[in-house]
Amino acid sequence: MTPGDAHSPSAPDAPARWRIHSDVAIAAGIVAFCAAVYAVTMTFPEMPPMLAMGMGPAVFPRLLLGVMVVLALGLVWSTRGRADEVRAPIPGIVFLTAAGFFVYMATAWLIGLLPAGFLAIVGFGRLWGERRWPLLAASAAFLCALIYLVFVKGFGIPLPRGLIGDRFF
Amino acid sequence: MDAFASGMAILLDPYMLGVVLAGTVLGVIVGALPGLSGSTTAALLLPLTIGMGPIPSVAFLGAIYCAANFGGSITAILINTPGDPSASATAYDGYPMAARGEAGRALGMSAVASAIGGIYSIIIMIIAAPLLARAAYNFGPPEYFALALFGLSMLAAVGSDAGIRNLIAGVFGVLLATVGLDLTTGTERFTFGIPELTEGLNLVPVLTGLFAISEMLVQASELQIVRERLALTAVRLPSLADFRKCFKAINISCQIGVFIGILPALGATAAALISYNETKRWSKYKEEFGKGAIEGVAGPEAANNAAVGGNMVPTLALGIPGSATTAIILAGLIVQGVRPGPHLFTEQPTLLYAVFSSMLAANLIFLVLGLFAAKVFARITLIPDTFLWPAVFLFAIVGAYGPNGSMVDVWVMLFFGVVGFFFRRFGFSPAPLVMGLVLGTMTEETLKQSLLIFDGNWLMFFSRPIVVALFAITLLSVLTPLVIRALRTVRRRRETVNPIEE
Repeated sequence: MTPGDAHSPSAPDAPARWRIHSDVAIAAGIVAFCAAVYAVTMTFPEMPPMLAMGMGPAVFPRLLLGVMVVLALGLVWSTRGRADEVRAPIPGIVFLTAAGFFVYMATAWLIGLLPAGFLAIVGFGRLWGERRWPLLAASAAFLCALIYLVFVKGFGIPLPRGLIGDRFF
Repeated sequence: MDAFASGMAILLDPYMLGVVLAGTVLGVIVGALPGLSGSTTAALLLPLTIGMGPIPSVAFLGAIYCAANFGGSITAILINTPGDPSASATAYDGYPMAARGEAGRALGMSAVASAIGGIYSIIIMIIAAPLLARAAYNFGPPEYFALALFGLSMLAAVGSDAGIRNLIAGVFGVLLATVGLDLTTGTERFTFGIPELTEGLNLVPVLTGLFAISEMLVQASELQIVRERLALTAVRLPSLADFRKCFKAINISCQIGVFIGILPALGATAAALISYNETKRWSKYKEEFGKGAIEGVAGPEAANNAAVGGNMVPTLALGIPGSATTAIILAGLIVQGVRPGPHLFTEQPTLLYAVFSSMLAANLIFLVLGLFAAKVFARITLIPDTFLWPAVFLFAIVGAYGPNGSMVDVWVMLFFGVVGFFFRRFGFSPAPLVMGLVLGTMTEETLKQSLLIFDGNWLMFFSRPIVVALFAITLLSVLTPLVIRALRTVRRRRETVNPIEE
């Protein structure tokens, strides 16, 4: 192999050889998760053998964590000779949509589940590129009315009215 | 026989017929919408079924399951995007047929092949499920533990890399089932002081999050994709020549679909893909495949619908779900207080035959809908994502909140929505997680009961022949893909070392 060879360590793409395969990173994440859950199982109270009847509350979850670690090692082993998958970066709109879930929850806490639902339909529609305001508002109103009729009136499930609803109505 | 007759008689009840009709129409609609699969819809509508009672509930979910597989073919054929993952193989030849102006012929064959596959599998289900249940009637906790392990091990059978991922997801699902109060010791596990988690994670919010909310995030990442939609001419029945040509394909695919469906964890998608390959292998017109072969539509469609009945066999007879959708149906039955398994056949035979008859009716209804109303259903694909997914979000929120009236369940749903998105992103499927979650309680309970029977001696498992046989199959299904992979690697290395000899 010559120094100018594209696959030689001195070539510009040489660091790629040392890049961690994404499955190895996933396996490391799984092992870390298992370690964290194992730590949680350490907080379970010790049971007298008579009560535990052969298996304390921590035994089964720990058994599963052990299996997960072995499988994670299997995942690392399976990367041998397998090229890493190229994943396109997650578009920003996915994070905005996920953030919208939390905005929805905060709004629902304040004004109630159904009025927040109306805003969510309009908001997500706008976020995803819909520019026909009246159509969005009409579809949101229709769906909220449908849910009110089916769940609240039909099944008798009272939906949360939020801080404002509880205080003023 | 009385149970069979009374089960079949439910179709004379206008309410039940209405439930099946609604389930079938909804199934075709959601099947036709890309991203909104049968399992997503079943999860989304699960809360609605809680007030229905066991028979209408399972009939409704069963009808959705049957019809969604057919509905998926509408978009696979018209916009080259399978509405349901099980229709992915249908697009290979369905879309080229539509591109040359034969969309109606392709959809007609799809409807007929789907109905034949579905009805065939229901007949097999009526025969096989009671037989399997009878065989399992005397099973004790050790056998059930081995059976649950076998069900989970089948997650590995889909290939080495995907198999390991499926197993990880499955075990994670079992771990999630340990959340809540440990019934033996009364200890709270992984509840983090949240009282709502004491009884464990509720299935409805987890399922809705994993399927509907995660799919919404996936759809958000695909907003820029523009789908080309082909015009649909009138759907016409396939000609006699078409039937003659497709007879062998439908026949082979029905057998493949039922067989794959019966195996736990392998569902309609695997059945359709395998049957596509087999149909091509046995066809006289191999060169037409990929360019618009009608056999390429008939084979996968017959197989994915045949897998539906096959999937229901272990679900009802053993309580081991055959796929993601049957895991949701199983969850629906558990929520209703019905635990599927061998005893169901003696305790509630009417319920089982009602399931069979409602699924039979669903197949006949979607055949009629497919042949005469496909054009109407095809228009559903025109609903913009900007209206569809926000609506799905609101239904998911209300659906998660409804059963227990708890906002914690809504948080759980959103959490699992995000988990589901990253699961998919890194090549994990949410379906094995659901299977693990559904089987988790059974696995732990039967293990504990077995150890009580065996006085804590683990080796006693090997004193029971059925357990040993099931352990052997489990080991085989876990190791086979790994051994095959290792052998392939060795062969590849030999080929690289000795290229001239090879």
